[in-house]
Amino acid sequence: MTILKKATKPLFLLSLICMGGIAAAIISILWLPKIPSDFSRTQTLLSFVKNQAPSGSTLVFGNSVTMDGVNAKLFIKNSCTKTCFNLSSPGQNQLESLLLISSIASKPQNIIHVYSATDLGRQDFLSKQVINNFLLYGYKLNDFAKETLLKTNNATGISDFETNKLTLAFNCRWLLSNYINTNFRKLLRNDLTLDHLASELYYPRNYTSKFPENQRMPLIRQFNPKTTVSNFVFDSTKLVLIQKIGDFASKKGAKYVVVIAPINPELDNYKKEYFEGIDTFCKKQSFPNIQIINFSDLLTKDDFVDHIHPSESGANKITNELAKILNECSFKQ
Amino acid sequence: MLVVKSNTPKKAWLLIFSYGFYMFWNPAFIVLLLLATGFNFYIGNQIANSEKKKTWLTFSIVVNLLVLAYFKYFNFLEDNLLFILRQFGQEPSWTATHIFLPIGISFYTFEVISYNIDIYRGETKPAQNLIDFALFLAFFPRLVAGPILRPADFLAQLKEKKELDFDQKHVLLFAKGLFKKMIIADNLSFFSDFVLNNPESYPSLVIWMGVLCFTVQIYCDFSGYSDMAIAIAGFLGYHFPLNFNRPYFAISPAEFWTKWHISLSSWLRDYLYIPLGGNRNGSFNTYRNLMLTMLIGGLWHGASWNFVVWGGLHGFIQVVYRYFSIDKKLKSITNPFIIFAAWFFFQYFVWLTWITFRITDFGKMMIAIKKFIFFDFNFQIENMGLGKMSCFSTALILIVFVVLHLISNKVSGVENYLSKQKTWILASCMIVLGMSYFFLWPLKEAPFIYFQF
Repeated sequence: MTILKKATKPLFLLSLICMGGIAAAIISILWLPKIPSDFSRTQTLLSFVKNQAPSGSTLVFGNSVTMDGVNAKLFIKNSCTKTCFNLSSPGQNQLESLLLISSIASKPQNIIHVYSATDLGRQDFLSKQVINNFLLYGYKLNDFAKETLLKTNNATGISDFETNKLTLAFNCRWLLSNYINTNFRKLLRNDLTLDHLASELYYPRNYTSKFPENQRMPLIRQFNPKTTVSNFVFDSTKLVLIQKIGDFASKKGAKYVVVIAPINPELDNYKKEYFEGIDTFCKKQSFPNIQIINFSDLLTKDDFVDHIHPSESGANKITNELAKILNECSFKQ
Repeated sequence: MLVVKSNTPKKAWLLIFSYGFYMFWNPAFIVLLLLATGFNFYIGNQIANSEKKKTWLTFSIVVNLLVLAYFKYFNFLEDNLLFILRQFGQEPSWTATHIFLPIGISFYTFEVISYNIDIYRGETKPAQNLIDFALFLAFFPRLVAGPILRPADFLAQLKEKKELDFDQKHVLLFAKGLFKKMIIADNLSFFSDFVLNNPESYPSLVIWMGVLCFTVQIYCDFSGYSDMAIAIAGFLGYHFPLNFNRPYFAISPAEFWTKWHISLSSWLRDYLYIPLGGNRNGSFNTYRNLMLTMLIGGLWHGASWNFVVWGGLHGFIQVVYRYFSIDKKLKSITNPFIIFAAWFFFQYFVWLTWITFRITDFGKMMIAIKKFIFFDFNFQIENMGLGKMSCFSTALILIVFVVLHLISNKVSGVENYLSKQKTWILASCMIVLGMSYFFLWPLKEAPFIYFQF
């Protein structure tokens, strides 16, 4: 009895700590989906592809290189497409794009999917963070996405799509620190607004000015491969996924266009043979319903703000060239 | 009151649980712990009862150090030998062996050495039975990362009848330790790893922040573990010595080493520095003894040259302070500005040495040190750190630590202060603590830094 009596207060304290945890969980469930963060864009994109993307439009997917590299308004101006939307987001890899593309409710004309040239040899994975992020904003895994993930050996995360709300709230707790971080960053960068990044569907570029040399050069050194890269290898799983997404696009009556993003020439350990390898690969592939466009050597070093992200001039070049190629194809058709 | 007439069954259960806890990491290493237990229990009795006390003591120290050297330093010695041979154009035919380091070996080896030495010196008697001795080595709260227990203190406690002591102060201490480890140390580790793994990519301001993050991380990681170990031992009715006493308030190396990893620094003092002669044989020998003690202390942390450099730098600063009698002069100073300057100068040195502790690659270490010392006045951090490696939320955690640490220093421990407050204040703090556990629990838990030692 004495020990129980003595333990009353410590047990009371422990129960209060638990109560604090439960209160935080309830707040998380109600509040986290509403707070703006670097990842709020996922919410916008999911809602857009499910409810708002008009039929007959061109939809562009990719990562931050695409956010900075494709100006959808310029594309509309120069192409025969009536509407175009840049639905890329930070770090959006092939599998994340798959989740978005498979949620498209309408019948787009083109689905343009930009791949980073330097990532073509690597298999992509859906991180738990990305899955949680999608679930937080109401994503439900559909049959096509599930089947594709299973077939391409990316099934490790399937069970993560069945997380309950409490676990999900706990897994997404980092959004709070992201929110704090981004708000502080806003104080230092006038051009960085969460609203802009979350809602901009035409030219959602992250970086509006060139990095200073003392910041850019370390990045170049860091991302330039340590040894020369001459041999281009395309990951086989990536190729299977391209075919799958191409088939899905065909069923929707859309053309699936794979664009290989430009490499900064300052990353000079990618050798001529590497670019020739990409070119040979693109010419060799003959999918009836997929067009592959190689922009790997399209830009000069002045067209980049840092080691990978295109500047406005770079984006203009990519967009104009893309519009030109797709126009030519449309006329041929 | 839960009192057991005989302590033995309780100790046996505790021992079984401790072994299970140890085997959780790698079951195979229990064999080594059992051998160390049996061997040193036997040797301890021999030292106490035999006439060749010194021979038995020497034998035990040599064997224990050889075992430690094999598991902890063999790879290091081999790598260095291979390096030297390659410098002379030789390519050895053997391939490098990779010996796994048994967790906690550095801690329990020092404990058995002090056990045998204390028996030899007559400061303690051999353990009454094998269970007591086994529990002294394997008691789970401190088995893997200390604090390093003194045999006389702990063996005496094993003779007492123990009851569970589920006290408020232990709950608060455990909660504090958990907060230090999970909320502060692990969250800061994202940023310190991010910066200090590639120091060449960042300006001085970011290097400074990375170093300060590591400074706080290593303190909260290790002292958080110690707090939890002390609290768990307290729940079980045992008392552990204090291992950290707010070392970042120290204004001199001598003070720092009475506050940082106290159980190790006092062990090194009692079983190495003083036996070497301490400060009894003139200035030169004192400086030599200080340097040797700190170099060995550095090497104890890990088999790598960067730890030797870390220990050497701390030895060097101790020599400098002693040579100029700075410690004595500081004691008589009351001017707060001079005290602050002395604090800043010494802590700046401590922060600098953490670079050598953290970065094993000497090229990167030198880059980080250069950027830390020669500030480049590049303040562009707006593009720094996205997502979990956020610059600003990391800065907020640093500020939270500084504020809590200042309060803790003023009130002699936040947990002591809270336990004296009105119930509603205490309750509010506990609810906020629970919320912070939920919101700030790190995305990826990092292992305790001192587990690797």
